[in-house]
Order: sequence, then structure tokens, then C-alpha cells
Amino acid sequence: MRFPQALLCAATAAVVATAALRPTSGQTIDSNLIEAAKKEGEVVWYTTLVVTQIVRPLVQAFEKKYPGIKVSYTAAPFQEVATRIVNEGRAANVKADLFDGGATFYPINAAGFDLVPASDAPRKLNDLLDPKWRGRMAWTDAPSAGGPSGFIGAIFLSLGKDKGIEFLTKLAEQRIANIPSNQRVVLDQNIGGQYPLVLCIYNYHAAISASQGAPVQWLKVLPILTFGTVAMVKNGPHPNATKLFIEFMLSEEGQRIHAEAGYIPAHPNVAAKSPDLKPEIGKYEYQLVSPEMYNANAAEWTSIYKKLFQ
Amino acid sequence: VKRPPVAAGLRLRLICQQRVRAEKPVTGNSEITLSKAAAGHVKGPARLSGPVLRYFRLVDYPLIALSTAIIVIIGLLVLPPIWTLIRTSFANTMPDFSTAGFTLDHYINLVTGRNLAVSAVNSIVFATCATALSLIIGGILAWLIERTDAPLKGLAYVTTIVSLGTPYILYVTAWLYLLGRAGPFNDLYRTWIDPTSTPFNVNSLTGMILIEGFLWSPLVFLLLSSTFRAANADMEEAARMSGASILDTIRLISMKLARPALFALALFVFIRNIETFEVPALVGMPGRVDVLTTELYKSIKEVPPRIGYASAFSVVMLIIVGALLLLYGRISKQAERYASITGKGFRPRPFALGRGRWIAGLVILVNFAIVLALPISAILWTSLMPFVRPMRWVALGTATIKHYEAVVSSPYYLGLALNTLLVSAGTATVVMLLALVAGWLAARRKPGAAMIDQLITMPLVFPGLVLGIALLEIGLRFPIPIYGTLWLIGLAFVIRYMPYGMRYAYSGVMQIHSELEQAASVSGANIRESLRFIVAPLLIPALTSGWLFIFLIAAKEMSLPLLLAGPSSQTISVAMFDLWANGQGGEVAALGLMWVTFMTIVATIFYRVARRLSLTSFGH
Repeated sequence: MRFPQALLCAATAAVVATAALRPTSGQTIDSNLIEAAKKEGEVVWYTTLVVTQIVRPLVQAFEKKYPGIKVSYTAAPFQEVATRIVNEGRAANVKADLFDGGATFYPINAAGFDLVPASDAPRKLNDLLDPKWRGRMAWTDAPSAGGPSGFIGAIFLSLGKDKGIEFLTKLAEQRIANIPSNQRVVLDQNIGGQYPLVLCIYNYHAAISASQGAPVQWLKVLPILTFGTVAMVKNGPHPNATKLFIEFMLSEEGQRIHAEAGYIPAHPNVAAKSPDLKPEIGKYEYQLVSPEMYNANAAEWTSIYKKLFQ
Repeated sequence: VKRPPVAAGLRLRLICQQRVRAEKPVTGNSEITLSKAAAGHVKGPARLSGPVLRYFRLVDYPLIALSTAIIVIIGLLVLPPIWTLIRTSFANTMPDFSTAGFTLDHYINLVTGRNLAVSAVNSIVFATCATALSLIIGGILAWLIERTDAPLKGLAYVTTIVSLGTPYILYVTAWLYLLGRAGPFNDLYRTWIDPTSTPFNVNSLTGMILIEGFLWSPLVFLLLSSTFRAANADMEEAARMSGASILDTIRLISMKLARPALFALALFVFIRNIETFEVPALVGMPGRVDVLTTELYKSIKEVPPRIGYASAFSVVMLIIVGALLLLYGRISKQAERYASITGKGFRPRPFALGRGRWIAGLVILVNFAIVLALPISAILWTSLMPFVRPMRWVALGTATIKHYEAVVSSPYYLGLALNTLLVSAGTATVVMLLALVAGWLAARRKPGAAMIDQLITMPLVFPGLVLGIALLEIGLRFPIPIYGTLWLIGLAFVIRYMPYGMRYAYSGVMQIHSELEQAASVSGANIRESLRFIVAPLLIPALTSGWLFIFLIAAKEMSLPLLLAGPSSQTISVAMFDLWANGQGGEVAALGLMWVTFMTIVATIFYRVARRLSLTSFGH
């Protein structure tokens, strides 16, 4: 699950500590930091990531590498994580050290389905307006860069305002189902056959399922590139251990754990499990929607989503 | 030969004897001695004159003390979140989620939302039909099980307990899948009748009503089964002997006797359905069926959540519920007429259905198939598939047990299971103890009755997130460090489930004619004794059903633990949500099924023990 950037401006108790793309290597870690981290002995991580797939492998590897530092985690959806952190901040009783949106980046795409012949799969944006998709498409209802708001932004950025609105108005007539859950659940409904075409999903999710034999294919119709984040909570109880953990997450070692779990690693030296998920190897064009761009326009994009699609 | 309910009668006699022994021989005015005994709390020989004593009889101090204590306890639990709710509904929400200033915007937004008329009509249709469906399914089943010689009774209990124990998201997802475009029903229709159409559309008002109706039928079943179990069969038997048909007996006797309970229940389920937003969101939203709570759901899923809007909605609901309860209070004043457990003593005998037995068996079987077997088979299917896929023979070849292996090989789940058991069993016990006293005070119209009933029912209208945020704040500022511990989750659960416990206890007390307590009181029993030896034993069926219901429903509650659980107080439902939301449909299905099996075993053991206790009270 991605962390919506809207949170970052909303959460005054939190500051973004690291840019996900900054490569770091294990050698540069200051031994003073490790000492200080060991003294603190714990990191409290409020996570939105999958516990069994990525959280526990990361925690186990970190605890093995730095014995004496325990990583405690609490898993919840981003809304709950945000609510907690902000309330802790306001009560001046901060318990969390770290929250995330995953240290990876995701192109976002549409996926196909086994009832739909491959030749029918849309190739370009206008194919989405074909009447045969009417009432048969779905996307998440989550107001985030990885959801409809980000999609609308990407349309504006690539087609321009006027053409963008024209396209979106036509798309709205297709009556896309708004699924009150996240991208992964939307993709599962696609694989399960409920919606033959879904928009705004993460391509690595489709790749993981396809590798298990699911009849799903991610389509390169306006891929959107956006970032996951990890962030340190201001006034958290264990700042040094947290910094050390973030360094570990972003290191080649930590990124390899991400790749192994099927996520797209941000580190340039680490390839994805299916290498063509990354645009430079998969050779596809994408539209960038960075956290800064999203923050600046989220309100407008979301209001267009509400007006046209809800 | 009729005899009083065994335990209650015995205890009564015992108390009488003890008191008689304790009393000194009657001296002077015998009328005073009698009223003294009736007052129940004046001990020793009479030294007071008539009028003063009458005053003491009117002002029943222990009773007032008890009422006050209960009001204070419930008030402490309920009022802080209510205060937060009201404050938030009138304040601006700042970007840092704090509240400041005064505004009516949230209330204005309630009325100016899109298509209010359509949503309101949808809401009423949805709530009414879903309530009716739950009442019909649960009511018929409860009557068959408790009052007749229908076969397959065990199956009805299994259906109820297993479906109550099934995590909510699994149950709803299973139905979405079954009735969905690629589900078996549409698939079969396409294979055999028309390959191009999709006759069942689950994302519709009908789909919502069906799923919500199925979800709450176990509540109705459990509540009514305790009502029917404790009801006196004399009148039914008399009706049958006088030549009334089975249907007439049900209509004219059984249903009328259960009327106060039925009415309370209908009202309760209706309120629940009006304010629910999970099914409307998961089932209705993708099909654009808007109800009043659709906007509520959206408001709390935004970041920052529009808590002001959600609070305003809840405040309005609070007022509506308050009004409905007042209305109900007025009706139930005559409830004495319906009480059928009297001092006369009775022994309910099952109603012989004759040839109708087999129809009854069929009804139980159909209920089992629809409410349980279908969704569970969908969950089982999911748990065996490497990824979510339509039910087809060819897919069977890919069946795998890897999801079960994943669950079994994670010792991590054991700790979560233990946490969950502790917090749900604790919650159920505390709630039912509170409800026993509160339900008795309220149903008997004791001092403060209306206030107790209103207070304890208020949490019913809290959306989980609103209650959760209130408790987050309380937990963070609480002098004892309960933030992030199981205690905070337990506290939240107690507040959330008090209304449910109250309904069980209340309708239970309504059935017991107050003459039993009056007799106890005349014999000199004090409040504690009459609650302990008369009311509680007769209430065992209701208390058991209530405990079971709260235990099972608390164990699967998600919204509160997601917000309140700390690293060491994670519950199984948090793990399930995490898996489900992250595409681990197979693993969550496997974990869910194993969990349901475990919960069913726990619930069955509890039920057996409670049934034995009830046996000593009712002799059946």
C-alpha cells in the first residue's frame, strides 16, 4: 500500500527524513550511530506494508545484523496510522519512531483478464473509452497519488488541461466502479473475474500474481511513476535506532529484501524480481507524479474525481 | 403436577426459611412486621412507627445506591466519548486533526449532501428490509429450536456460532464473490442459459439487503432463542388443546408472548442497519447505491479524516435513537402482561409439530446452506487456490495447501490468538455483568431506569473510528499507561458492546414476572440476594446468549484494534485485515477458517457449560 502524500502536509508531528531514491551503502554508516542506536535498543514502526511479505523479513534481517535493537511494529491502513501519529503528537506523548509507504516506486497500470482475449486489451488511452468496457472497469476509491487523483493528475500532465478534461468527462461515462479498498484488493477482484479491466493498480502486484499462474497482465496504458516514502516521526523515542533502520531499509541489502518480496527496489544497483517492471529495463514511457507535484495539486485533482466519478 | 423453576424456587424457599428463623417472634402490630419484611432491608425487630416506616419503604436506599452506582459507571464509560463526539461535531477540524472554533458546517453538510432524498429512501428501504430478513430467519429458527421437536437442532447452533465467528471481511467478500460477475451463480447461468448476460448484480440494494440480513440473523436467533427457551409453554399447550392450528398458535400465542422482545430487537437491529456503513460501502458503493452512511464512510477514509462530519452524523443518530428509546420505554411499560415466567412454576415442553417436523428440518437445513455452507465453501475455495479465481472444475487441479502451511508455520499468530481470546472473553464477561444489573434496573422501571437505558444504548451509534479516536485521546492522557495495551482495546470493546449486552439482559428480565422478586423481597431477601438467587439463575439463557454473541463479535472486530493496538497487543483481526488488504486472500481465508474452527470449539464448550447451569434453573 502506498502512503498518500496528502498525509505529509497534514501531519505536523512528522517530518520526511529521507528521499527514497538516495542510494546509500552500508560502509558509510557511522559507528557512533550504531552505538547510540544500541543504547536506545528499540524502533517502533507503524507500518502499512504487508507483515508476512516484507515487514517481518526486514525486521528479522535488521535484528540479526544489529543484535540488541528490537523492531516492534504495528500494522494498520494509512488512515489509522496517520490518525495515531497525529494524536500522539498533539498529546505530546509520541510512541512511534517510523512510518512508511514503502521504500520503492511503482508504475501504475491497468490489468487484463482471462475472459478478455489479449487482442481486446486496451493499448492506448482512448481504448479505455470503448463502449465494451462500460460498467466493467474498476479502480480504488483511495484518494491518493496511486489512486484516481494521481490518475487525473497524470492525464492533465500528459494531455494538458483542456484535452484532459474532455477525456476524463468521456471516461466518467464509462461508469468505473469505485472500490472502497486499496489497489491490491482491486487487482484481486480483477483476477477473480469481477471486473475484466482495472485501472490504477501496481504493476508488481500483477507480476507477483502472474508468476503464481493468475491470468493477469499489466498493461502499459499511461504508466504513472510515483514514490513510496519512509519517514521518521519528530520527537520519536528512539531517533538513532530509527535512522539506522532507515539506512538499512535503503541499503542494497534492505532493497534486496524488497526485491525478493516482489516489490520494485528503489536502489539503482538492485534489480526487480521481474526486471522489466522497472521502466529503464522494461523500456516504457511513464508519466511522473512526484510527491511534490501531488501535494501541490491533490485538492484540485481529488475534487475532479469526486465531481466526475463518484 | 406443576412446580416452580427448580433453582429459583429452592432458593426462594431457602431464603424464606432463613429469614423466618432470623426473625424474632412477632410482637405488636403484625402489619408492621409484614411491611418491614417487604421493605427487605430493615433488619431486627421493629422499632419504628407506621408513617416513618412507610417513608422508608418509598425511598429504597440500597436500590437508589445501586442505580446511582450503575449510572456512574456507565456514565464514566459513555460520556467522555459522547462529549468528544459533540465537541467535534461543532468544531472546525484543523490540518493537524485538532479541533478549534465553532461551526455548524458539519451539520449543514449533512443536509446539503448530494441526493439526500435518494440516499434517505435507500437507507430506509435497506434498513427495513434487512431487519425484516434477519428477524424472519432468526425468529423462525429460534422458535423451531427452542419450542418444537424439530430435528437437526444442533445444526442451527453450529450455523449461528460459525457464522458469528467468521470474520466480517471474509463473510462479505465471500458473498461478493458468490453473487459477483464471475461467481458460481452467474457462471452457471451463463453456462446453461445465456452466455452473454449477468443476471445477478451483487452491487445493488438487493445484494446489500441480503448480505446485511444474513449478517445479523445470528444476533436475532441468539436473542430470541433465549426468550423462547424461558417462555412458559402453558398457553401454547392450552391453545393446541383447544383445537388451534399450529400456525394460529404461533401467531396468536407464541409471537404475542415474544412481542416485547421482538419489538426491542427489531428496533435495535433497525438502528444498527441505519447506521452501519461497512456493507453499504463494500457492496453498495461500487454499484453507486448511495445510502445516508455512504458519505460517512468516505469522510472517515480521507486523510485527514473528516471527523467533524462523521460526528455530526452520529449526534443526529444519537437524538433519533434517544427518541425511539423513549417511545419503546412507553410501550414496554405494559410489558408485565407478557411475562410468562411466574411463581406458579412451569415446565416448557417442546411443541409437537407432527408431520411438520420434516418441513422444520428442511427450514433448518436451508438456513444452514444459505447462511453458512455457501459463504464458507467460497472461503474454503479461496483458501485452496493459489490466487482468487472463479469456481471451475479445471481450477481444482491447481489446489494447494500452501496457505495453510504459511499459517501453521507462523508462530506469530499464536500470540495474536491469545490476545484476542483474552480481550474478547474479558469484554463479554464485564459487559454481561454490567448488563445483568442495568437490564434488571431498566426493565423493572427502578429509579433511574430510563437514564440507564439511554446511557447504555448510546454507544450503538458510534462509528468505530469516532469511538476509536476518542479513546486514542483518552488513552494518551490517561494517568495509568494503558495506551497501546490490551486494556485500552478492552475498554473500547466494553463501551462498544454494552448496548448489545443490555438487549440480551433486558429482554430476559422482561420475561420474568416480578412476582418472583416480590416474593423474595417479602421473604426478606435484599437486592443482592434477589439478583443473585432469583434473577441471575433465571437469566442464564439470556446471559449465555449475550456472552457468546459479544465474545464472538468482539473477537472479529477490526476497526478498533486497527487504531488502538500497540506492538504487543495486536489481535488476530488486525493480522487478517493486513493480509486481506494486501492481496493475501488465500492466506487470510486459511487463517480465517482455522480461527473459526477454534472459536467454534471454544464457544461450544462454553455453551455446554452454560446449558448445564440453565438445566439446574429450568429443569430442561
